[in-house]
Amino acid sequence: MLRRSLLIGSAAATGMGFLSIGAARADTLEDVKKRGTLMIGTEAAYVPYEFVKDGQIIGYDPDIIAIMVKNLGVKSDIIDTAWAGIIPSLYANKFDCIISAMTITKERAEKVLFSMPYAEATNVILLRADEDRIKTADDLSGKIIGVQLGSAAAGIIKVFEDKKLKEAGKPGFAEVKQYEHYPEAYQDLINKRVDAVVNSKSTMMVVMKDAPGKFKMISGITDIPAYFGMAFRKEDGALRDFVNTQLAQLKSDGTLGKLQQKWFGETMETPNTVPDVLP
Amino acid sequence: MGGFDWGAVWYAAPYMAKGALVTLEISACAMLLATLVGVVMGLVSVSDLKVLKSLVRIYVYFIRGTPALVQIFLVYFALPRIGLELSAFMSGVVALAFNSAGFIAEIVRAGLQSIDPGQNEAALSIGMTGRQSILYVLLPQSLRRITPPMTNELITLVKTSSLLSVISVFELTRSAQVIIAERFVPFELYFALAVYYLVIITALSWCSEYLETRLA
Repeated sequence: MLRRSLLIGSAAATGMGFLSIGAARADTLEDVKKRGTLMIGTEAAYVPYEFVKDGQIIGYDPDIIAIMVKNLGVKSDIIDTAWAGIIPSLYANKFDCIISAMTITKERAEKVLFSMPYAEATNVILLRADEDRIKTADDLSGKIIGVQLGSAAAGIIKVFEDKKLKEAGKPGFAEVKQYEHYPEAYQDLINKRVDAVVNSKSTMMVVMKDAPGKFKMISGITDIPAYFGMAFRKEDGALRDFVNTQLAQLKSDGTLGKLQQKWFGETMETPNTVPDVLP
Repeated sequence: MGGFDWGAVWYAAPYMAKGALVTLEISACAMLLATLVGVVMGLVSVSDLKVLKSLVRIYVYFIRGTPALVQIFLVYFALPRIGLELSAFMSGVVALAFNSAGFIAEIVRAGLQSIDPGQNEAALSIGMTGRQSILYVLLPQSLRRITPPMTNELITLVKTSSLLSVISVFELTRSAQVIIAERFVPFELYFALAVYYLVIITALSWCSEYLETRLA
């Protein structure tokens, strides 16, 4: 009997959780100030944006977070979460926003609010250094491609296969392998289980630096420029606007450029608003 | 986001059917290999082959003492290091089969040892060798006792195959995860996923029950 009532209780709680998502919420920015912490969802497995070193989550994103929460006068609580479920978790109120090198895509923009771009995210193709069959992106026809499950690259290669390969009468990819995390895909590239891995250029540059002589990089998988943005629930316009002012400030006073130099070894060009054409 | 998104389940159906097929293929191959290796190891366990017997003990000790997920990663990432390059599918079959074989070996050993010792003594007294007694007297009698725990083990194998999603095998679980990542509908698709597995495992249980009545 007790067990049954517990079950009913938890079912009701779940139901209420769903309802409260639809209903108008209190202002999250005010909640954050009152609470004294900003809760940030991230998947700390994406060098150099966010990754774990010596038990700490560090990277380009955590550095920006540290500056923003200081200006807001609160503490940060970075919550490591699985990438594939990161947007549902945002709406389940597990955190206030997503700062996790999320590419601004059409599909995601339907679900969440994005901040202004804060890093460049154009996708490139990573190949084995001794690969001689693939000279241009078109040569990916009939090859095995690796991407991370739920990544922007997963969508980009689909568009490339449909619009570039198949419309030109070429066969599509032999197979697309979707990995839990990118490092496994790079490992499989070395092990020759995939022929190419597609991911953002800034990440690939770090991969190439860490394994000198093992990989090379070519472009041409997409002609739409892509950018990373921070994501918020649709109703949290106030929090997004606050973050936008912060980012604009950090960009104009050169802080973003310095952080980019620190983590990527070069600075990036990013627009001040979300572009109209999204990947 | 409220309400149950049936559209997503419907949209995922062709992908999940493809995934289910891979799950069935991989499970069937692994079951075959696991049963073969497992029964041989079980027979060795009750034989008088001392060296082989202790090798089987070490093997079972390792398989029982490590998580299946770790074994899968070991097969997938460690074998290429020693020059054995298996595809994700084959790595999956090998990892699942060798995991299951460890448990099947124990099931077969327990099954054989549960037969009344008088049976073995009788076989030996009419001039059968130890090996003949195991193969022709003990094994046939233990089949009925082995079937229920074997069914359990094979059901576990099918469920463990969901872990192969982490090595990028496009099996049932991964097929659902791909749609979840695309459509952001974890509740709907994990619910559907549970139903898909229930259907597969129900079918497996029916086969086993049929087999048990035949052996009775």
